[in-house]
Amino acid sequence: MKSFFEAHIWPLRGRLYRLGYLWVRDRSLAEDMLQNVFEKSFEREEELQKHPNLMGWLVASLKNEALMHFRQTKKLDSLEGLEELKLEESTSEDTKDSVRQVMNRVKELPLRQQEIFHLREVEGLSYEEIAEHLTISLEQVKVNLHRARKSIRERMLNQKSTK
Amino acid sequence: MNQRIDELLDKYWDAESNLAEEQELKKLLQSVAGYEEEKAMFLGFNELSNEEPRVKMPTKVVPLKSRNWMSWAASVAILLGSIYGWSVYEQKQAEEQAYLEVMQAFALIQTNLARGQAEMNVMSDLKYLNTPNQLFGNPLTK
Repeated sequence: MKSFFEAHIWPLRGRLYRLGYLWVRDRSLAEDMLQNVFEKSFEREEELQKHPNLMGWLVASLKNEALMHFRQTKKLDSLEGLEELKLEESTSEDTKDSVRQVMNRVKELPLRQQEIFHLREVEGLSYEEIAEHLTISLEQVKVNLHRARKSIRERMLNQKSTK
Repeated sequence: MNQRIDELLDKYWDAESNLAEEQELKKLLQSVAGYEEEKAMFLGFNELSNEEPRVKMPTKVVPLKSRNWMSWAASVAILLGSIYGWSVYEQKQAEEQAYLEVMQAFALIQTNLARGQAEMNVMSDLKYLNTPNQLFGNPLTK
């Protein structure tokens, strides 16, 4: 029989990894962060079985790992969170061109909008699922997705007119 | 068809489309020419969604119970080993003891035999018993 970890946490690895990748723009760092989160959740398997929002917990721990990394590398002074953080400007070498384009496209959006946009476009999640992942309200999801798409469209139109 | 695409795109940019409509839009875009910008954007999303991490499944820690069982097994094995070793040692000792006793018995026989032999030396004088007769002749036989 599969353990709780194998059945409910392990299958989420791709989605968690890509979200971490969005934050840190570095494949191996995102993988390390995810590995740490997995070790932790594996140890606390029983406790997590009763958690009302497992996905929210996993995303929060992954974000915590990213914060710890940025704190160690002195890119972040306060503990306020990634909200204030200017994300890594450059993407790591092994990033595919098309993926790099996506990242550049969203780079100038506020982090919350980036996350919501990413979960909608790349992971194809519903508003309800996005709200659960980021532990925010449904209203916030709708508003932020609207803003994100609006600014991305504007940028695309600007690029067209400058060409 | 392009009319439907435009309609869906407007909805998409206004964030009013649902997931099914967004799927339909992506499908329709693949089948028409133009809309290069949008196509490239959706292609990028798709490629990113195919990125998979190389992480290891965390390994199980050996539970305490079975470790207890292991230590019991180990102590039983040591005990049996030392009992066996002890019995081999005992047997060797007994063999050595028996050897010594046999050798002592041989030594005793040897000394007694030597003593007996020494006493038999008297018998060698007997050879002189007949010498006077040889020297002087036996008057009785004459």
